[in-house]
Amino acid sequence: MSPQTYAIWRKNGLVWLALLVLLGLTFGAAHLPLGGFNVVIGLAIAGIKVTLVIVIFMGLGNSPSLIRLAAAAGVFWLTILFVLTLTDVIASRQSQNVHPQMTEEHSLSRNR
Amino acid sequence: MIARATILRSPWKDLSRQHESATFGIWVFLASELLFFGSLLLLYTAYRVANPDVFIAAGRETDLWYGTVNTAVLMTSSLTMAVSAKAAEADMRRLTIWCLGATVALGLMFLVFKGFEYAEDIEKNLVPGANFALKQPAAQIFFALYWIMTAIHAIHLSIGLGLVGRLAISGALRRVQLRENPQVEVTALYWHLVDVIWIILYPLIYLMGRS
Repeated sequence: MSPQTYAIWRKNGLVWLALLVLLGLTFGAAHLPLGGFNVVIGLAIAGIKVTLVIVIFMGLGNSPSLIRLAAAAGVFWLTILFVLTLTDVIASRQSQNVHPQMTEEHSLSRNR
Repeated sequence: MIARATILRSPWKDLSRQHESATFGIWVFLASELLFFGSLLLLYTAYRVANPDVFIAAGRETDLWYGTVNTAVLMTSSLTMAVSAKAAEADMRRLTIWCLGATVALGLMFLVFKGFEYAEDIEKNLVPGANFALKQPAAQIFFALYWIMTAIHAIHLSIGLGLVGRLAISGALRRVQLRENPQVEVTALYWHLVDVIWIILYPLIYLMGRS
């Protein structure tokens, strides 16, 4: 193996190892009785894995600002989509106006 | 030897500008893909906020082992894809082609496992409809989202298989020059996005209600 080949495998292989360790961690953590924190841990670890893939495998860490801006724009609009929609979903749930939950009767009447 | 000119496309006058444009273009496309999958994830989130207990009970019915093994398979395919892209930049033709081939093999492995998992889901009556296995109506919403999200992901993966396979074959036959070819990087970026989407889906579909 040439030194260049070794360097490529080493850098990317370390990221891959980290991804597998994180997969093991999230798998294990899901089996602990943590209540609502299970989903928080699951999503936090997914966030770390996604960051590793995007920054190193996809090379966003070394990309020119135009590329970073394109990626950031996607995240920006996604944030707006989530925040504005969930504001409504969570607020109407708190005021007991249970949209978009389906109760037994509602779902039956809707299906017919 | 293939001339550098064959991978240079109109309207670009030099390869580095073409490279920048292609990378920028695919990132804009990936940002739009993020919004596409994001809208499905938002639907999932809204229904989960409204039906937290039913979603956790329904999530328990998915097959954790298929999901976990497939996550590992897809992350490994991202490794071979990343190595392939780096090797193409460094003009290491053999390594590029081998890693493209490995990526295709791992992608196919993912689809085969997914197929077995789907067969098991169908057998367990987890397809929303008249004979659905679980009583609560919201469990059908969870599984409707499960089928839609994983199927759309599998379609994306299949498109990726076509793109990577095409590069591997035409590269091996010397029909296309892989060195510094923007197509390799663009394909790699698309492949990584398919992996990223799966990494996000994994805890939302498979890791619920396991404690």
